[in-house]
Amino acid sequence: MDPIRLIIVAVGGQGNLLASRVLGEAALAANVPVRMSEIHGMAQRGGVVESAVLFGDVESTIISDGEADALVGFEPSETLRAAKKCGKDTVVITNLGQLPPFTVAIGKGVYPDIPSSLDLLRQRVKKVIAFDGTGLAIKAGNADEGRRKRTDPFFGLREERRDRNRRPDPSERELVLRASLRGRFDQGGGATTRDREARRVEKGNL
Amino acid sequence: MHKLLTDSPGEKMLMLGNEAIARGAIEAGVAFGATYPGTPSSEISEYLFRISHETDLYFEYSTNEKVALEIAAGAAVCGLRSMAVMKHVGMNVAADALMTLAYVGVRGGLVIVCADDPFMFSSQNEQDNRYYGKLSGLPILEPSTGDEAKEMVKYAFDLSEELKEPVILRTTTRINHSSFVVELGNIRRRETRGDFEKNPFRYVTVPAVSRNLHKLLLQNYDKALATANRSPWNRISGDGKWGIACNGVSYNYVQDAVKELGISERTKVLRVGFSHPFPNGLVQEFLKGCERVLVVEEGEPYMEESVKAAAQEAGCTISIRGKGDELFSRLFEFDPALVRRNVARFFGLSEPMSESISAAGLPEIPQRPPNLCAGCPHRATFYSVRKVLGDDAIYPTDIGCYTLGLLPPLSMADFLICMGSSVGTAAGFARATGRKVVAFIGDSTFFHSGLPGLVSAVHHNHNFTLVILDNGTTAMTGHQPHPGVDLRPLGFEGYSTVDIETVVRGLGVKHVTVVEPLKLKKTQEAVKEAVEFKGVSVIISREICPLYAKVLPDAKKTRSFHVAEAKCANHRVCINDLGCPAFYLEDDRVKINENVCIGCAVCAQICPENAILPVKTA
Repeated sequence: MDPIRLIIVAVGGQGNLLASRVLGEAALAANVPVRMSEIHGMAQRGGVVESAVLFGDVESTIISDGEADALVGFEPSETLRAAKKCGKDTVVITNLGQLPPFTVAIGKGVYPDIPSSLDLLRQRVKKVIAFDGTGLAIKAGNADEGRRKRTDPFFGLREERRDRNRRPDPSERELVLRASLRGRFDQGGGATTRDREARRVEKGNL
Repeated sequence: MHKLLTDSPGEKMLMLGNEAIARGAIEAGVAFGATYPGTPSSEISEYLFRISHETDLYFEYSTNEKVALEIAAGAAVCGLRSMAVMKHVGMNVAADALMTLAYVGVRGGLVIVCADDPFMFSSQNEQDNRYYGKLSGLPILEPSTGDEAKEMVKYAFDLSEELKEPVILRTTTRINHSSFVVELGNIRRRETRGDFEKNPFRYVTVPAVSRNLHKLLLQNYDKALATANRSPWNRISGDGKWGIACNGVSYNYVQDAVKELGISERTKVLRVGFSHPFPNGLVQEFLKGCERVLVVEEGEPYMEESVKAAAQEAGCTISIRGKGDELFSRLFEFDPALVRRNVARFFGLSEPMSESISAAGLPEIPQRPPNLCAGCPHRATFYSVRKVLGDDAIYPTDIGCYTLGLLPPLSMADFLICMGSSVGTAAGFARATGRKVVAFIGDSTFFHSGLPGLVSAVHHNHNFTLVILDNGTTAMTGHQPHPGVDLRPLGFEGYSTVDIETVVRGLGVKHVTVVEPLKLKKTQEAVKEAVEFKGVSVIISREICPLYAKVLPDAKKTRSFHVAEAKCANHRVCINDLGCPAFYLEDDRVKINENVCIGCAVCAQICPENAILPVKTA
């Protein structure tokens, strides 16, 4: 199959690597050729984590500027930071839940205006799908604990403990997927979309 | 059972390159391994260390790469299949052992995995370790993918036993940290009992012995060269007048470029995976019929020079290019578009451009540099030292999380070159300037290479203070153990713990203080005393890494703090001096994110209004 190139950007601790792993495993299960790469040098310390997932007949494990078919951003300013990965045919899917970098808190930077930036992006890429994924996740009982959710790669004790105590909540991904299949997020969901979705989620009405 | 022990040949798994390398070692029946952690190699060792507690594999975190290579060499000389794992700069530390081990050789296979880091994602330099092949005379294998890396590891053990010398497997970050579909193979039974036959005229490298051994190494080189020229790891694909020679991940980019440019009918590609001794015979075959050749390799022109030399020997005068102004750089890493562009340019093709969208009008995105975690004890130590000495002192630093103290507002790093350099350079700064010098080194780094510098400083009565930031783990690379770590809480028995204070006193340091850095006042008193002391003084700043503490079985619940708005006078000392990521501004007031704060209470101690208080839990 022709290559499909996907970039996922996030802040350390948001589960980016896990998300790409899930996609990779799904591709393997579906017999779709897949290769991935990740840059997580300082993920533990709140840096940026970027992963690339390449499906289909392609040998490279990374994606050059302008060549992403899809850009998924777990944090809107990181979505914008990765904009150079987009070309005119890219589909951008972004969370609207903000995690301002610390540099903003100490006045060393200004957090960008997200709605106007996304409007600019909309004019330049194929499509922008934006919604409050963080809010959805919280409603779904998967409260995004920010950087508390880290697992320890060495002993994995925390991970095992967590797995044992896990309630089988509908995952954020599944929620987003189902909702987006209904075409609800095409207009870049504001509060109204979010509230509507949240109510549906609360009722368990998926 | 560990995933990598799965005994079902033919099963396909998605694996990180590093997982594939560890699996390759398991399939090859590796019996013995050692490492010092370093990105991008760390995960290989993490898997093998875990597996060593489930099986009769022996695996250890040595104090440094030289020790790791030496212990692995000892085991390999006794006939065990052994492995030493390190990052590229770790190879510099192990190099002393490596150069002469190449003379002495091994009996059981010894594979040295060395992970290069083009672009320096997490390293202080981007040296190209292929030159260690030339320097030592040992074989080098370079995979292009994770699945190939697994097979190469197995082959490396066979080759090592065939040649009776160590073999280097050289990766780059994009192999180690990429994921590939890997097919499991058979697991060979581990041989864990070795034996040693005395043979001093083979094993004791006095000059008379080494003269013979060097001859042997050169004979081996010839054997290895013949093998490289026939090796299936070096392969020519396609046919045409345009030649491309490449290695490692560049091969992936070249394959994609040739396909996308539609030139596979006209192009011949040589992929070199067995790159030292360089397969010059095969290259001469490859050059036949080529009109021009492009060499695609990240880093130094190692292959380019070798291809040119091979061409010269064969009397071939075609254009062979690689590095150059209009071509490839020796800097950083490549990417698919860069390779495609250069291939197109070199062969005079119009290049299909992939345009990034215009950034016009998009706002500047604030930097998100990595930061010391909320509640990191290093932040408290740095704050206290800065409080006492400000910018009057020189602060040589070292390699670990605490290197992040470089960033404002802490700004506590003035010089760094390599592991252990804080101690050695501190003495130089102190002697040369007569200024106050306070050096910082982590616990793991202290064991790795801080000891010799400290001994030297004691002997010469150098005048500086060394702060050992003891957070009880090798934090930066993912919480690996080191000699100072008590492993019993984690359920690992059979280790002794080396106490840093005892070591420092034993080295002859006369002024040693142990502080708890989260207690600012006491820490600052200790700093004042230490810097007044004439000679070498050591402060051991002891507080567990909060990320690590979380995974220990007796992890305590942390209580976060908040800013009492009624008391806060908006001085912002907390935010401006500490730079803790738990702070944020809302409506121009400082707030604490309770999900991030772990209650270290350092900010509470510096607030002039005492406005930072624990959150009351109902």
